[in-house]
Amino acid sequence: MEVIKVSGKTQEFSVAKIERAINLANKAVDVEQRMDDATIQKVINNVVKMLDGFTSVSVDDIHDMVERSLMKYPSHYQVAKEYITYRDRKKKNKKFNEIEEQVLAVIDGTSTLRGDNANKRIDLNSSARDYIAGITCKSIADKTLPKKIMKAHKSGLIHWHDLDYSPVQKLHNCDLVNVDNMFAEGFQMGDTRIEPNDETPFETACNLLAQINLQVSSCQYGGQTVSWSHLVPFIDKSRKQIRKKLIEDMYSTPNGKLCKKLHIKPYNEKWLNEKVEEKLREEIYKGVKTYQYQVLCHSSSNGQTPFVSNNLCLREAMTQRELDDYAMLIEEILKRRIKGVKDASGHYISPLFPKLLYWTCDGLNVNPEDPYFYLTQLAAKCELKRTQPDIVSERETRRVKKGQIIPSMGCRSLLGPTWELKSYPINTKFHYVSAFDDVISYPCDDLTLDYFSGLTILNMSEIDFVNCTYPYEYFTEAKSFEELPNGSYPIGVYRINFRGNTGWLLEKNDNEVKICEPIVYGRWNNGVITINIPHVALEAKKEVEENGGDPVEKFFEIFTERMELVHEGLKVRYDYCKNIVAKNSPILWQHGALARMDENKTLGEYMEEHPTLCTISVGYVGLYETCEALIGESNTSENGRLLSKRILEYMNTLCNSWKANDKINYAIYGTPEESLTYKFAMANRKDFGLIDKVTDKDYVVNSYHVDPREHIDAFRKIEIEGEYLALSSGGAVSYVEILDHTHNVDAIVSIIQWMHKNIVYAEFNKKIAVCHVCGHEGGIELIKTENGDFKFICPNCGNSDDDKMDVTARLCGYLGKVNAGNTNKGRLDDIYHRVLHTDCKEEFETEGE
Amino acid sequence: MNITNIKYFSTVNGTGVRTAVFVSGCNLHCDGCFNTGAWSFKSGYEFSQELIDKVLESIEPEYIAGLSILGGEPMDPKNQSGVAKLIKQFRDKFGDSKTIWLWTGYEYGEIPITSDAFYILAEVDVIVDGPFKASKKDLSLPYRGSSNQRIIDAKKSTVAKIVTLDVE
Repeated sequence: MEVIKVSGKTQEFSVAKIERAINLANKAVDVEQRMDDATIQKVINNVVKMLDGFTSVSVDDIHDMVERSLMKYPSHYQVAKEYITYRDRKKKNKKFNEIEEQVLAVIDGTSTLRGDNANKRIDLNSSARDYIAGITCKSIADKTLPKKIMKAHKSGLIHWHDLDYSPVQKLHNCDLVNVDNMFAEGFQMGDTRIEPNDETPFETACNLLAQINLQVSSCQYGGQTVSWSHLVPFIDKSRKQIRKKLIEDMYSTPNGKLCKKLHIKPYNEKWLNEKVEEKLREEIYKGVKTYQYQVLCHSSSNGQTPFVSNNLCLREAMTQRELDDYAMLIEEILKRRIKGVKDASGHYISPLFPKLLYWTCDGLNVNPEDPYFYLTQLAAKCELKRTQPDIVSERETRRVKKGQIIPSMGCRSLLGPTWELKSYPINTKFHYVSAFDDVISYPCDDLTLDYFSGLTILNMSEIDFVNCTYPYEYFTEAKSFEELPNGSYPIGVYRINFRGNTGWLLEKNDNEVKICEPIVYGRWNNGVITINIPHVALEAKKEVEENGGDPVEKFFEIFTERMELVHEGLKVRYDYCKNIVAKNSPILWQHGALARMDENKTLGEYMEEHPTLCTISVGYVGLYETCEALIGESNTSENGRLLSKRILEYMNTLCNSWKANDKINYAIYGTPEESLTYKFAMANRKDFGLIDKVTDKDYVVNSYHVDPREHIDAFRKIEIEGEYLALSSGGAVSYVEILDHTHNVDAIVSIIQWMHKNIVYAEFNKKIAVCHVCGHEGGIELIKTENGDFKFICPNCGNSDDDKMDVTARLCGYLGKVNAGNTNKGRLDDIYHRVLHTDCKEEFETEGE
Repeated sequence: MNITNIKYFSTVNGTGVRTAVFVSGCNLHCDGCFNTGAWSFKSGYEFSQELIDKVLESIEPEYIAGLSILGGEPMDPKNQSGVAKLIKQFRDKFGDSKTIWLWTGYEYGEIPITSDAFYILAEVDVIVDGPFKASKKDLSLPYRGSSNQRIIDAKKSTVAKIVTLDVE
């Protein structure tokens, strides 16, 4: 077992050190208070027992355990007192304070410190700088945040995410970048003004996109999503330029000059079109390739590759031309991903970024008869090779987002649907939904059906956006056209297409039109605080064991209190975000990535005007452990599912009441636990000991997920987990673990089709490895050694040298290199335990094979 | 007929997600066989109607592409009637909405012919044929163990004319 010192360095655990410290304290007290050797041994044994099951532990935790054990002997209370004061004295006498020690450990590379992001290497100077800033910020946060929140954070009851950035720095979490707006109205990077226009070729637009990603990532600490649909218009611009250039070239030849004199064309139209499309494909190829390299090679100001996701949703195309161009672009992006990028040893590997969000849209790419089904087959092929792209269901998204389609930000954070009243000059051209209806058909369940047909809406000026997030709830009040106030229109008639989302024309006068416009891009999340639900369950269980009562009722009692703590924390967090001023991050707030504000305007003012544009997240983990602790069943059993839903529904109820009171858009978020998974697992084990199925592992199961150890097939898993997505609408992603060596594209397609019907957002997992010794590409074995360490072994040649292989696996919502000693033990323990969700069930126990 | 096992949600025995039945008994005894435990016709369990029903039920969901029959040797004369019975019930239930893949160690033209064999060859969609040859072992090939084995489009093939499928 390793011990993590205050500085973040590690050393081997030693019982002798504990014994020495207790003896010192013992000798310092009055003779009659002293413990005898047998009692000291009992104290030590008790500490060792408490440490059972830990593979690493902090010095502070050991001190706490010693103190707790000493306090079991009230007749020797002075020994405990002396031990505690000795601990404090020792701290004061050091040459460097704790902060300085931590900084020094980062610099000499011995720190075990990990950020919340597992892809950030500490031995890089550029990252080390960010770690050092983080240490300072954490220390300041410790002194500024409310004491009870910091105490709960430190003891693992709740987790204030990204404490190394927020609240001290003027940063927020993640974004949906409005590239459409930046390109349409122009933007500034540094002192340079950039105004894309009709002459801007596609490849240049790709370049600009990569630069935007880099700048944005330096202005926040989370993920960002950009949609390729915003670049699709540049494909047709390039097409026109290529055509113009080709024609010019032909007229400039002697033959062409002659043709000009004779007023005949020097080319045949069919030939020209083919030539144009050929050159256009080359341009797309170059653009996508450049973008891929730029994103991977960038290092943002926090010393890591920008966390970028690319949205690939065909429904966002506005015309048939855009749709075809978009399909061509997606094909190129998937082909490039299948090819991969080279690693240091020259082997092709999976690029970790940008993440790809591939949408399945009814009538476009779900079934074999759909025109773009071939893209889904290509996506399936890409899953087998790279476990990318992520799959997003248009149908399910519309179901939980009141008819809107909204991509996740970065790795999972999801915004709710929202509309705003906007005015446009009377001559603005819009795409009416009806005009495009024959190409696309919106999938509608009961809710969205109401939405898209026959209903009427009130005059927008009467809608109170603060108290009602969704105009929908108001629209249903008017019953017929006759009852409408002046200036209102039935929505069935004046529907406008905003990249696949519907807006409504509300008013029209001689100068302008007023539109209720769906807002998807130019939105963000302010940050997350996560609640450790299993801890609440274990507290309830313990209390009921001691005092009697119903564990589930007790659970809800404690849960209510704990949620209030999260609520208080989030309010504090939100208040800090209010202090952000536009000029702190010009690209975000002044130049259109998120907003176009005056440089001195605060985010607080902007959020007051637009309360539904952003969210702040209530994260949660461990419904599995909670069910096991409270009712002794997994969260996949009928009772387990009922309890899980009850908990999530209750969280939603609480959030809604906070929303109404605070005018803050709280969102329930299935937390991607990174370093957190280990922190919570250890907190639960420390406070309650080893409990079968609950604290017997080094991770806490993600949000509503099925335990990675549980044997369940992919379809059942997606079906069960899909039920929770509506209750976890601030972010959630599920996964299925597939065989590492199958060629079966059809199998993946059928799983994708099932995801389309059942779940908003899901991913495929497997471990992908390249062995540098024998060149093996494919699966890899992961074993757990006796001392709790993990080791990857090449199944072909037995190589287990971490430096001579490249292993990629899903960490949380995103992929990471898991072999480079970068991944925390909790996450590796999760990866180690993941079982297959295909090829997972046999009638008889394997025999005779 | 006995079977050694039924594997559900299989992604390695034919395209799509399938239920795979492994029949017992084989007289070919290829060198390097991956399933020697299934050589004896007495190994495994009796393929009762109850188990057949279980197999068919598992194929009902829309996401299951069909049935795979492996062995042992499904085309051994001793197994053909059992295999034909399974296929008959499969077609009665699913018609042509789902597919059947069958693996045999015989080459297509050498399959021992009985009336059941004719029925089986007419009803299956894909046949992977030929003995496993250790010298031609190639684990990177989809759905087969050695490169001499062929993935045959059974509906389009006759002994005179074999049409193979291009499976990536």
